[in-house]
Amino acid sequence: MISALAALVTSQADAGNGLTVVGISNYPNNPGFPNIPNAIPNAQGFLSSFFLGNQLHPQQAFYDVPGPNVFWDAFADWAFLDPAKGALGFGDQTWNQPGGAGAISFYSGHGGGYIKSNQTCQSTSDCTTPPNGTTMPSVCMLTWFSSECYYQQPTFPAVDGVWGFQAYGGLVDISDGLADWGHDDGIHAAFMDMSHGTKPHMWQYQLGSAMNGIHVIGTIMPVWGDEAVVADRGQDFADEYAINPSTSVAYSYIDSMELMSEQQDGSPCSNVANDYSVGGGRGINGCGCNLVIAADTTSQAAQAHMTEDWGVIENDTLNSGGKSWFSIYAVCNWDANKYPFSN
Amino acid sequence: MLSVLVAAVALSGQACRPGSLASDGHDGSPPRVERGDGDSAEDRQDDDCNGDVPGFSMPQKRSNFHLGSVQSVEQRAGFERTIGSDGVFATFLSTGGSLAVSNAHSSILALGPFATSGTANNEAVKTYFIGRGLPVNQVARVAVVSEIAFEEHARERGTPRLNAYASSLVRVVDGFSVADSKATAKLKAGGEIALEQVWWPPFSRRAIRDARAIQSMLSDPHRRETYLASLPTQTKDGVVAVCHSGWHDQPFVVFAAYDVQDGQTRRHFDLYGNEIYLPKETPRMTPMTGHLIPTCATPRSCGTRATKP
Repeated sequence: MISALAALVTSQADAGNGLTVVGISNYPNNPGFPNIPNAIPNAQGFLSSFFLGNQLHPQQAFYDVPGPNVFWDAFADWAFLDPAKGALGFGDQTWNQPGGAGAISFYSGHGGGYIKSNQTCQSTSDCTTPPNGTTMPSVCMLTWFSSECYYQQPTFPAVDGVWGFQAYGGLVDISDGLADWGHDDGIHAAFMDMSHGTKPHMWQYQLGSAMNGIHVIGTIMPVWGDEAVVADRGQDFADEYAINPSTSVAYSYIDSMELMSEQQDGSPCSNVANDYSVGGGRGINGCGCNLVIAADTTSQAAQAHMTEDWGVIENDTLNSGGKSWFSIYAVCNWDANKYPFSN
Repeated sequence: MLSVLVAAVALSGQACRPGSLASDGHDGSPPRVERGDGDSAEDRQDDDCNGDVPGFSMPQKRSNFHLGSVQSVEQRAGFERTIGSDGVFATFLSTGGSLAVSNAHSSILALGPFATSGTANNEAVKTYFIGRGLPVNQVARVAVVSEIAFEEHARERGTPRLNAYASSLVRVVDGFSVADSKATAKLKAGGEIALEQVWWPPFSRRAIRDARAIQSMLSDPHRRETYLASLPTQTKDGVVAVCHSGWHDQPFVVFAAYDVQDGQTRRHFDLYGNEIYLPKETPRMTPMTGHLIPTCATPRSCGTRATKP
């Protein structure tokens, strides 16, 4: 019944079910970024678990190693950005999949550009001095043992600047309006397993600015520390689809944190080595969250994107109509109700 | 080198039939990298097959996961899936690992949290799994994660709302972390379970013996210094742990390792300082059952190059 329904959905002209998967493990031309061997297995784990779901999905995979039926070279930075918005390069066909063909794009690689303020705080009102490269507004970012003023700054997926093929040196600002995901019946969901995907209360600026019709964006929100580049987040994410295509795509992404290992998938949410007593791990080296964001013209419409299942999310007629309201769900690797991540 | 080690891990030993978890058909293969440590192959086989560390599995009928009314049961791709009106409970038949996931429109997702304290959630989840037979002496503690939501107008900051806690039992055997094992449940109001995963396999005690050997080596200052100096990592701090494969990886792999968090990557090293990998950590051949998306007219327009310079 489920597969019959899914087949019906995918046969409609207004539905695309294509997948783009990008895994970048090697950064020979960007000395600031060490190689991250688990990025490719993470992307491949997403794809291989996805196919346990037994439905046909057009696909394209980009890894920086050779492989059968795989575009083996590094992914171009400009492929995240829309030339119609003034971006350099040759267009975002691969990432955004315009024309109604695409449903989901998944990136596993470095994220960059995090500018630390080194300012402690008790509340956001203490954070009034943005360091170079950042601007107001600010947020007082908290854990149970730390505080830091964080100032508005872009989100940067960081592919490698291989062989002069990139337009932006491999570091892509997706928060400045050049990313335009969902335009022209493009993708409906994008997931970025990367460092510093967003920070508390910066999500509207950092991720919302890339939304133009896309239903959901998911990424990693380190609050203290960094993302752990683990091999199984993608697999855990897609496992939920594989066993239940009627589950929520947004929940599947944030719930992958619950399915990851605390101690094998990262380091503690603590300033004491190997002390996981308050939390940590699960894809984070430190304290952090898996986060999804949706936008639309009303609060109800934004929330409705959170309950789109893996068939419904393919439907172009459900594309976001605007960015008046945002819905944000996060699963954090500690008790963020007892110890809130901002003040 | 990597592929050689992985092949050795996958192929060494024969499948054992652990007596402690007969119900789920789990085959506790005794995979390990051959190092010529003095045991004959027969000794090793005997050792591997005698005395497994007990595991735990959760049959669907014993689970409190909120399925709603059962619609059907099907087997596909190695899974048995019990499909309910509100979710699916799946068991990977060859390992006994299970994962249960709610439907997007399950009524329980709209419920509030079971508790407003992570500690209370932890206690309830621990009681639940112990009550189902999970070995209490393998539970070191319970870890919590929290699900927080915001609804906010553009350029305004929303107020956080606690949606749920999920709690996970942390496995330790004879003092060694077995952190790849999972017994996790997300609770909603009334104790309804919205998400559940159990992957708590039995495994050969040989892994514990190997862990003790690593620990013993590290307790000798001279050998420790030599060993740590040989590791190709930026940091040398680590822990001795038992690592095993995922709930639907085949064949089952378990090994003892000195685990180091090296930058953003967790790395595993055996008694001899050789790096070893779990199946999930090795690049794999991706099944390509679909077709390429026809939006890329040329490789260049796809953001790729066709040939390596």
